[in-house]
Amino acid sequence: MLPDEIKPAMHGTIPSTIVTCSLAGIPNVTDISQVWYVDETHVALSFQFFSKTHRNVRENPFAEVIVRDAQNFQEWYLEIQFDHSEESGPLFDAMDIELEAIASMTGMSGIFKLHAADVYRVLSVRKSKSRG
Amino acid sequence: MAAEPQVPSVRDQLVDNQKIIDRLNTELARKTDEVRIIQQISSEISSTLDLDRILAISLDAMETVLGFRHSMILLASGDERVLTVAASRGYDGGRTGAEIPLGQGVLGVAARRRRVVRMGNVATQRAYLTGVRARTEAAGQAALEPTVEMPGLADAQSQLAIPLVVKDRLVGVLGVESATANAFDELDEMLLSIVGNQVATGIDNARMHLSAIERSRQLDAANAELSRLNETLEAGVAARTAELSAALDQVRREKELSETLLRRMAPPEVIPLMLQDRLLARRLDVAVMFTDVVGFTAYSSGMEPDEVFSQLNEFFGAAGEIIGRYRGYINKTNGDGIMALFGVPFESATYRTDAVLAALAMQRETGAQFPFGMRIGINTGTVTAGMLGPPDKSLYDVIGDAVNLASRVEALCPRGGVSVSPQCEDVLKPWFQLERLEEQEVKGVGRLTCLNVLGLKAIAEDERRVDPTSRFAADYLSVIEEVEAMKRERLGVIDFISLQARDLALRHNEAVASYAVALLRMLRADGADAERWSAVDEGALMTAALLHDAGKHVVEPARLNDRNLDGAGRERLRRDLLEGTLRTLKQIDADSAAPLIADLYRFEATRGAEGEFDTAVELLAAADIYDALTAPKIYKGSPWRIVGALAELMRLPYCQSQHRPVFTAFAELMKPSSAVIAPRARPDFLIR
Amino acid sequence: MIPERLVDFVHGAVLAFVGTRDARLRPAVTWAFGARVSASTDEITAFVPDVEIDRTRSNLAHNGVVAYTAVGPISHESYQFKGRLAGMRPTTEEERAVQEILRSKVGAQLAMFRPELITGYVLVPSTALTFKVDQVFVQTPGPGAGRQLDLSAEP
Repeated sequence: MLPDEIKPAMHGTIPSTIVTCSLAGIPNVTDISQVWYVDETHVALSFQFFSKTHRNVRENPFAEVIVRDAQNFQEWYLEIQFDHSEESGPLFDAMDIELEAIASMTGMSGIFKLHAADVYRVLSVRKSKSRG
Repeated sequence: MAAEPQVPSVRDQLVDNQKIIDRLNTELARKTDEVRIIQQISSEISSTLDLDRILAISLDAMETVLGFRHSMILLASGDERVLTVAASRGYDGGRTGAEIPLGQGVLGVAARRRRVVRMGNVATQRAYLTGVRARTEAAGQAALEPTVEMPGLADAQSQLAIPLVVKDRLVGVLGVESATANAFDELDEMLLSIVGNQVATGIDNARMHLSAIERSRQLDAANAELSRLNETLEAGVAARTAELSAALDQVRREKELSETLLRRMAPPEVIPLMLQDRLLARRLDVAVMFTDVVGFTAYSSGMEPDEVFSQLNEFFGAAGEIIGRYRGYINKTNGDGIMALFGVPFESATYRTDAVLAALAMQRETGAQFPFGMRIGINTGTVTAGMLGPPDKSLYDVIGDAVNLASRVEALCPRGGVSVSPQCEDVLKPWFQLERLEEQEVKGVGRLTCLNVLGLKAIAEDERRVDPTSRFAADYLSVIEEVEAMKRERLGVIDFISLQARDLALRHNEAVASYAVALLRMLRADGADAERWSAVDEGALMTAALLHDAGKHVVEPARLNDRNLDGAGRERLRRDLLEGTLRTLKQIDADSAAPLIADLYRFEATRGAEGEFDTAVELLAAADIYDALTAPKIYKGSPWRIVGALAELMRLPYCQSQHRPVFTAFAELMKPSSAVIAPRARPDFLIR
Repeated sequence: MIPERLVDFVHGAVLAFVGTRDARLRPAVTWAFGARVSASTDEITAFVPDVEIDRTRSNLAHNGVVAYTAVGPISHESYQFKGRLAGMRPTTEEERAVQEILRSKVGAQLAMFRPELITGYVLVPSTALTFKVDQVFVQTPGPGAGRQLDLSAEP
């Protein structure tokens, strides 16, 4: 489902945008630093601190993200569905080690920590028409 | 709500990275050049114990081969708490000496967690987090650590760090970085990991070597101190002076002893491991050689002790040089006998023939020193190698049945001969003339029929190379003698056998010279085209043939014997061989053969597909290719049959463009009388 | 009452997104480029390019729930406004001019980094989407992110 050409958009060089929705029907839009490519049908978000996004997907798993390619500025819209959360394992380790590296450089070790890797299933992918 | 379909566990999919592996394999096939170069880098690293050299090789390779402009290697402190930059490339003024604590930044985290870390947007994320930090500070919400300056690029976006780990010790970390985002991919990660492994081991070995040197330096320092003390004492304090002099002597002796002991105890390659008690016993396939001077006790009974020792040491010196020439190692001497090993501490493709050739050379070059001659016995087999003996007296040694058998074989060897155990027969048969000895009953072994090695098989008697019914065998065997004579008279300075032993191309040069000259004579004798053949100088032809691969001694035997060379690897090998050969020609004043030899290489690079070549080149090429195909070698499988090899010559691209009388004539010269080798006939047009 | 500094913020060189959801609570997001805040009526009119408005439009037709987040591209300062749709119509000439001014302002902010990010966007035609603000949240990453602003207390 996720084509190879989307991968550069998932490097986190330009922030991504995510919208979720509570069970009460109120949408929530926010920026996130990186959407991780897990495999062709899964992506992951890092869960560092409790947020509305975090709470929303656990009530209502559906979300939409926009990811952006830093080279050609192509945008992609992904409809995703929260699947499960991982607090250990290879995906968690990969995310955690990067977070640790950045946190250590900015004096935020221990404060900026990965709590879990939230894994989502990809329901649809499309290229944005915003750039014509 | 309908049940959601089962999704395979993400964890499983991550662990079973088949898609990535497949893609990497494809990309790797395109990148074999880099991998080959990396293998070369690896072997360069493992060939030196000099830490600075290892660091330089590694970082030069980062830059020139793999294209990473900014790279550095950091070494871990003994307690693995701090990383210090030991070498860097691509940074103004260098970064050597800069320190980072373990766990700091991409480099520090890779080292602490002993995992490769690859990031493509470091600056972006840092900027983001710096903003968060500022707000956190402003809100007074948490006690924050100070931000840290990393030693690399201030604006690095891409960073790739490889931890260098040997066994369970952190040696350091290798890092490359770039100001461009996402500059490194999985392939870069893989290539760098491969180099990282080699660098880790290399650095580890070098550091241990350094500690051995350091001990020596400490002894030097102690030496200097004592000397100084000695000088400042008053002459009247005799007893004290004497005491100090004794101490000074003691220190000097210890220093010499430790240096020579190191050299004596083991092959140089294993010394670093040995010093750290990390040399584990290993099973190796080796050749064991025992020598014995016949009747030495009787011979030396009338001599003064120092004359006896002088004689023996002269012999050991000469034997040692010969054994070293064939890449062997003298394990120990026992009275007048030597025990030598071939194939330790690392395996080599040619260790068995090396042992036999070394033995033959010893008989030839040193055997006459003693009136009753020498016995040499060789056996091949599996032994266990390692440090043997009480802790302060241990030596690198080998044990096993194979060793005992070698000793028995030596005891049964005729005087002046070289004997091998029966299990060596199959391996040695292709190259050596072997003679069966009498069957003997040997204690602990049973009945044993050893073989005496009479020498290298003569070209004329080697049916794989020369068919007994060929014209060459009938009319031109004398050329072989002439070649031998010219070799002895003009090129005596070159030891052809040890050159050829490196890739088991035994008698190759003599064969090529003989075939080429014989072919020339046959063409002259057959009458046609006389002008063309008379233009070729026989002497020059013979010289070029004998020296055409004289540069082999500068190429690693491992490369020469590599069965798995691809096109690019073969080209590089050819280029290095030619370069080495041209240099050798200069050294022995045989420069005049250079153009002909260079042309020969050019021919062989494309099998003559490109361009026209002189008659002399054609003669050499026919002979060289033929011998390469028909003589047994390590890097090919079985040699070709003569008929097959001649047919292959007809199929050369060179012979497709035109009729080539030299090659057709060569087939006539070498083929069995009953065979027919026709040049490939191509019809000029098809009749439908 | 939307505080004046937030009015200025929304009028400034910010990137903005509009979130909506459908009958099955599936959310959708799109870019808005340019906005006008009416502090007296607590209304925000966001200018949404038509190229990516389809789902937003149909969602709003079903239920008028809107979330609008504005982000300063360099500072990451960010606020989210939630409310109900009040009306939708095509943008006016003047509003399109506001969008172009915004394009160059944001471009200037990103000039050190990537101005091309902004120049390539198709802004015409756009739809002016007006909604009444019920709640405002601080989204700036860091301590206090997600905090709701008390509109009655702010000056």
